Amino acid sequence: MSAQSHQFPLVFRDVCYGYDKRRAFLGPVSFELGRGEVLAIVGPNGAGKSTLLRIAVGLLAPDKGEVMMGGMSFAEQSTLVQSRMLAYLPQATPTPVGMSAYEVVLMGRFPYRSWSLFESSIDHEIARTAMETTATMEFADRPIDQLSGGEAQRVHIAAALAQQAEILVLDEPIASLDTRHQIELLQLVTRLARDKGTSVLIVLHDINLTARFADRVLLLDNGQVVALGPSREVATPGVLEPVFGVRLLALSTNPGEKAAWLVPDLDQGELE
Amino acid sequence: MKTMTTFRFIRHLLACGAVLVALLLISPGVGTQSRDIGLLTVWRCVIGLDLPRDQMTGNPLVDHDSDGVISDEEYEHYQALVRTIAFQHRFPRAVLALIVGVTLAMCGVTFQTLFRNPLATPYTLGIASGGSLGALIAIRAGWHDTFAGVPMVTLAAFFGGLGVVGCVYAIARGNRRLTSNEVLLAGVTLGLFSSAMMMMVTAISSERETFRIVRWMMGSLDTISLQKPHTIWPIVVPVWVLLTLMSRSMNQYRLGDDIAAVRGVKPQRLLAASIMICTLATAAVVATCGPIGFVGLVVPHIAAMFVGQDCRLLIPAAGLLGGAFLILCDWASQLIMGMMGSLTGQQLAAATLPIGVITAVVGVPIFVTMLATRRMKT
Repeated sequence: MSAQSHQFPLVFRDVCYGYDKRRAFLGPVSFELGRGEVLAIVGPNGAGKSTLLRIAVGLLAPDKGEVMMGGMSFAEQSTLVQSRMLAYLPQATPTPVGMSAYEVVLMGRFPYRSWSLFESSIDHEIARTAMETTATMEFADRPIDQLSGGEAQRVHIAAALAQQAEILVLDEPIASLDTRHQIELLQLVTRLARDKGTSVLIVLHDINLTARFADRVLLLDNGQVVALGPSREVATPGVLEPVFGVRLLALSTNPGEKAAWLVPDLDQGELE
Repeated sequence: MKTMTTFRFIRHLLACGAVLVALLLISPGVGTQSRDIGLLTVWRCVIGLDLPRDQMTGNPLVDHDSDGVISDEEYEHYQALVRTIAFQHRFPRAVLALIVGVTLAMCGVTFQTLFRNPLATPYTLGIASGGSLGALIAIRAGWHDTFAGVPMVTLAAFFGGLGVVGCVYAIARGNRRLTSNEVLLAGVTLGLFSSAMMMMVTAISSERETFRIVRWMMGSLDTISLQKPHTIWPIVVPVWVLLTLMSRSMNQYRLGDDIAAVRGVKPQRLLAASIMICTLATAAVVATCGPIGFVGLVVPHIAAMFVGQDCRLLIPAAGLLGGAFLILCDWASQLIMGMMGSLTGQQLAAATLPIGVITAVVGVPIFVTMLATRRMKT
């Protein structure tokens, strides 16, 4: 079976990662990321979300268990194959001062490099298409350090797109954006998943946006999987309250909506 | 759209290369020895044109017996003298300046990219000072042999530089802040320590040795330098090629270790390899010419203004401009001393101002400006 056509591009099987031997810092975590699925990872600070993502992209090797990509164990795959399948946007990306947005997007073609120092015309074509898809073409020539946070983040997504990766791994991509740009970025990501079949593993903090944009939610607490399921089932006060230690109020929703709007209920006081 | 294509690459490099070639063509005409042998005289001799004999009467270099007549013997003698000065003194000196400039500028771009810090250079990271200390110890200990074709002095400089960069790297890694100014602080501190150790070595040397060491520490392209220039070629040229070949991976580094790693670069391996080869090249330069500072700092930023930040173009372009920059600095160092001599009417002790003085005079204001603007940004 070829890697491209695999039903679950990314599979975690009992993955554990620990800083000391006796108690696992993370795991065991098991999940399957389907084609075109947006799987959000949610949990309090220090729950192990970023660690989980770093294992998913191969920056950390699991101490136990196995990560399968395109139906093959991660450890058995070549770096080149992996780099073409995976695109990763970490929490904080250093800004390459003085590089244009287009140059940054074109750098996403690195996994397809040949012996030449320079990109082919096909690479340029793909980079342009990626910029059109993410509506970043208008500032292609601007230095990326002069773009706003939302624009720069869209450029990084365009670079990931130019990488033509099947799996997009995003660590809090909307953390520093205003509400409108948060929504625009999540709309872009979900559109990629729907139209191109890209599988998205994304860490988010905003429960309500998560519930609206993710297909499924994996709730982590203290390195353990507390819940894994459709947004509607996980984004409920009953599941989230014990994990975050905050009382939540579910506002009534229209019947057609994905999930209830959750707001912190400050009047009820601290949770035991 | 402004993008890097092979065409743009070649066009920019040709422009930078043309500047360098022009300077090299002028170089036989510029120098302290026999200042009245100018560019025209030199190239006339080379292409076989007759020199105007009537203008030479009274020139003590030509008219040895001062009889007012230039004999054929005197004429030929003069031509040979011109060729010797032009092509055995001035031109090789320019070529050495070129080698040193290319190497330091390329290493500067590499460190600035990999440490993601515009102030990182072989000098601010202490590599040059550590290398100088190593070279100085080797010179004082009298290790003048070669090992596998590499002079012991260069090897000692390499290990001195590696020692310092190893410490800097360990300090930075311990703090998990490889990109921060702490790297620079560690580098500058260890560089100062190396300088102090060099002063100690100098203090326990004889007066004669001390003069030579001090001149060398100021940075010097003089042929009396401690290491023969021809040993530098086989080390630095492969380094130039390697750094240019690594440039596409270095670009990825600008986005951080993590993105680079996921896209298939081995960040730690790239960093370690670059540090090793840049340290080696810096060591070769330092062993030959002493620590010539600020080239690796100033030139990459000037080059980036013209060609942009793409390392694939920036590394070779900065190299070419670095060579040109150091040739110009060397001329300035020679001509300024001559001007000062004729202004004061005194015979000055040294024929040339140390080139390290010139690069510092140009470099320090740029360094301070960048440091100040950088603090305001962060």
